[in-house]
Amino acid sequence: MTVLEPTTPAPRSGGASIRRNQRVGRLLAFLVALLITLFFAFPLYWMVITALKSDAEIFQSPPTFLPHPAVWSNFLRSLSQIPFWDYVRNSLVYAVLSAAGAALSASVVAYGFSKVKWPGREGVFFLVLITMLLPYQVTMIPTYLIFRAIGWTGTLLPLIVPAFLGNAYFIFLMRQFIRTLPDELSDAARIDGCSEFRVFWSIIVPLIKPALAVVFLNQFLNAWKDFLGPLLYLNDPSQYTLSLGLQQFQSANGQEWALLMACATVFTVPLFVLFFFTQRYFVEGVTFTGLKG
Amino acid sequence: MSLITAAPPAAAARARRRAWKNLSLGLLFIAPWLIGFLVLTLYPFFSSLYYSFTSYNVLSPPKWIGLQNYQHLMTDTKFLTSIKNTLFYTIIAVPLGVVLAIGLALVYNQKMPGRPLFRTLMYVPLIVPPVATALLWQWIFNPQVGLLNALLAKLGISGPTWLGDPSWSKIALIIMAQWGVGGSVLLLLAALQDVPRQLYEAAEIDGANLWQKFWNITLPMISPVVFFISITGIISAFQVFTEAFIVSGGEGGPVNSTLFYSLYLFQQAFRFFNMGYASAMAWLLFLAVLIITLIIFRSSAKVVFYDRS
Amino acid sequence: MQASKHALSFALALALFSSAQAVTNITVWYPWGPPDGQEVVNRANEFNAMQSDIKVNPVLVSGSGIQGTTQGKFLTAVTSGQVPDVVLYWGQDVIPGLQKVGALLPLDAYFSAAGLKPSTFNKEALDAMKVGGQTYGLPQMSSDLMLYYNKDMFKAAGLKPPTTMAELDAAAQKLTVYKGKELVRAGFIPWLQQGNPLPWTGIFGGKLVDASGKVNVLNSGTLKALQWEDSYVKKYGAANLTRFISSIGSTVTSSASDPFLLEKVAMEVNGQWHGNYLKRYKPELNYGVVPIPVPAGGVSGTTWINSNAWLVPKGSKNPEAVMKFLAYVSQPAVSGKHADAVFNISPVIGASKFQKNLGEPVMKLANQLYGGKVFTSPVTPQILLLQTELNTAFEAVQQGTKTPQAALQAGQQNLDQAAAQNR
Repeated sequence: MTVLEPTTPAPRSGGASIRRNQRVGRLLAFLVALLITLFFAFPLYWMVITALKSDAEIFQSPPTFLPHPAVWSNFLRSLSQIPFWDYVRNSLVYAVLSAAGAALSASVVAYGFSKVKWPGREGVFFLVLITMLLPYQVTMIPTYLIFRAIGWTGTLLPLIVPAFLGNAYFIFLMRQFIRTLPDELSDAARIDGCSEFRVFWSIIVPLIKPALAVVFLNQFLNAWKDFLGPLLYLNDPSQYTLSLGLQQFQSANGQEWALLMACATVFTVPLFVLFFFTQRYFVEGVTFTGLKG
Repeated sequence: MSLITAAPPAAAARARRRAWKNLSLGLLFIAPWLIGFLVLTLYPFFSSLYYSFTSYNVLSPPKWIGLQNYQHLMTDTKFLTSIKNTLFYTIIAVPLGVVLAIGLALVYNQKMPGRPLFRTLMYVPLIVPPVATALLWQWIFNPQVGLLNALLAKLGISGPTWLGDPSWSKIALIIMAQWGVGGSVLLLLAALQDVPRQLYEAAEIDGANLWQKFWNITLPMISPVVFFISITGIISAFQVFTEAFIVSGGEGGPVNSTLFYSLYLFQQAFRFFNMGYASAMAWLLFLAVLIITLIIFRSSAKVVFYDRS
Repeated sequence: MQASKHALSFALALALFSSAQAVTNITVWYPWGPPDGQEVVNRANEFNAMQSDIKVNPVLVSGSGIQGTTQGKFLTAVTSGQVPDVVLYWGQDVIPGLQKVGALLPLDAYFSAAGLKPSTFNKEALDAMKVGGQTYGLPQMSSDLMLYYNKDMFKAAGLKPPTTMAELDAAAQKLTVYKGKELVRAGFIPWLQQGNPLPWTGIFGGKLVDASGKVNVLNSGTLKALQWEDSYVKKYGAANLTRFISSIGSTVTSSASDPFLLEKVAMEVNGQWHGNYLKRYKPELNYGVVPIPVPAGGVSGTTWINSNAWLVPKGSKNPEAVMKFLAYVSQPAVSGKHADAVFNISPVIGASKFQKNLGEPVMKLANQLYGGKVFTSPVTPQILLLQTELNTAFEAVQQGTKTPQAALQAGQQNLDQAAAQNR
């Protein structure tokens, strides 16, 4: 449904001019969309070709739009200066485990907030929502001190374990989705004598797979992108994740733009690949939130 | 299913048992969240309030100093600068982002060739890690050989030194932030698609023009989403950290122009190790967010149009 | 019979077990990539090869987690109890600040067991690492600053290397090249590379910490230095300079893309280690070095010296093993060889005998200056904040947004507040 395009039959007077306005409107929209997409996509192209430029070409003014020659060795050079595979491994461990934890905890908790009727449920859920408004800085320092007291600093644990304890946004998302499932299913199972947990695991979970995927992928992305968490909790460089590693690389190689962009490209490419295959879970995941209604 | 009216004692007892069973089940299911809430949210919440009344550098025990941290903050020039910087950023970036998102959503809502590709490409900046984004845009903003000034030069404009100029550095960061507007656009697109056609048809019969259709139908119908992205926009603008940290090397420069609230807080906590001072800053931030959220919720009642169902 | 057999095997097992446990692993954080960082790795490898009790594991952490964008990493490690065993930092100025928060281990008690004596080291270099009479760092390598100048550019302009500030300013102007309104080559920009507020304060005869220990950024030296930088801003334009600086390579540390190396500037203030980079990456560059020119009434031939410091964080698990490694690298032959490779001055007495590069012009001048009137970082627990405020104030003037007086005033205010509030 658009604002610019009427769908009722055009009034008798000026039918042709309305159709012309339609076409002009659509052409304009297309051109604007093209221009805007340039704003979104061109910097990425710029990142990749900067990675391929030689040191001399980088500082040419005005800048060139195609590298002459293409220095592919920049990629290898930038990776050889950092323990790249350590970073990848750490990022993967953090991302996969916290994503699994997020999907698991969000669904369990959301089930408790939707399919189980208990007194005070709505009030506590309101509390969950409120926590979304709390700035992380308020809890950042004592949380750091807690993890320090139990000896978890210097490991990935402070980053992974909280994902298993429920994230307000994911819980909200899951709850919206679970609520759309008819009560009859779970009621029937209960009458058959299933424990509530069986109902959850065997009946509900198979039905919410798309929402689980949305939560998993979103948390995977959050973990891969996370910078402050690793900055605070990881001490030994062999534990760094890619985001911290890239920043480390930057502070050691201030103005080596080709190498920096090469490193940034390698850092981002896995996400592009993931996104390419799973984009509908990101782009359409929003329909699960039911925010519009 | 109500057993309250004229229930025999046995049925009432059964009802109580069921209520208990449901309560314990409910709590069991939400246990992960509850544990996390108590240990990682509620306890730290009050703990940081305590620390804000102490002088604490972690390597020695906290020392109670009452309200001194708060008093010192009021006269701390850099603290006041950080507030100014954060307000400047929020007041410009958030409305700009919302207006842009609405505009883009309207454009992308049109049928046009390649629309799925446009939609996907619009979302791609959001999957680029913030560290890479900050470095990339730092390069684009390079005053001498960066892309932006080169394009401006082609138009005959001599661009400023962007991140190297105290008067332009925040503007550069605001532009950088708009690169990620795709997420909001997606939400608005979904909302736009839900606006019932009949409303527009009816308006047309009444002879409404484009602007009237937008203002009287579209905007009210998507106002819940606009409200949502405004609130989340303000809250995240108050907390802007990573990009400023990367482009200024953790300094908040040049000349403290990118010293945002979170960055100054981070410096006090983890560079100068004034944990008590930083906790006081965190609590003031919380109060500010609370007050602003309440104000917005109050005024939203008049502005946001919620649908029946 | 059975009992003693068991006892024997138990004793054997214990002996084997404990000898297997005997290898002590120590982690060393060092702040640079090659070539300086590579030398640290070389020393670690040598030490590991010559004995089997201690294994040194060098790890590159930019800025050693103390400065730059990895700031906070060192202190976070200390507070979490998972610290590296020893940290090599590229300066000694942070020692008072770190000692104040209790992040460092005093080293005096470990000297004799490792076979180290205070007299091993140059007295000034070692004293700079003491706080309250206790030693908190060991000097690794020392450096001082000088003025590099491009001989070809000077010859073409018919100039002689400057000896006074006035001559420096005049040469800078003559050697600056424009294309239209844009700078193409700068004669000299005071704040590039090692032209930092602390060295300039000393060159202009100022003192940042007075006798009572109070920090004063409005002292005459700092003020005059900043006013001098302001004169450059007025002459060449703040925006012009910022634009130019953003395109001439790495202006903060030595590297293959240093502006002097790329011949984008005719003169540059840098340490003698920079000669190593020039040799490696542009051996054909025809350059010379002279002492940094001083303003009228100043002491010529004076310079800023700085030593890299080995720091042992609080919570380090094997300080004895660390000191054994430090004793190795502080042997005159080893230290001399290291200094040779990275173009530094060894703080170890007798090490210069083992250096082969002393004939190089930069090394000759460096040693000459080292033995003369030198100044170094002021000793104050507020050093971290002092550096931040100085950098901000100097930046404000370089951007043309504040006058020198106002900029330093603002910095002083922040420092006074922090001191009053004990933070």
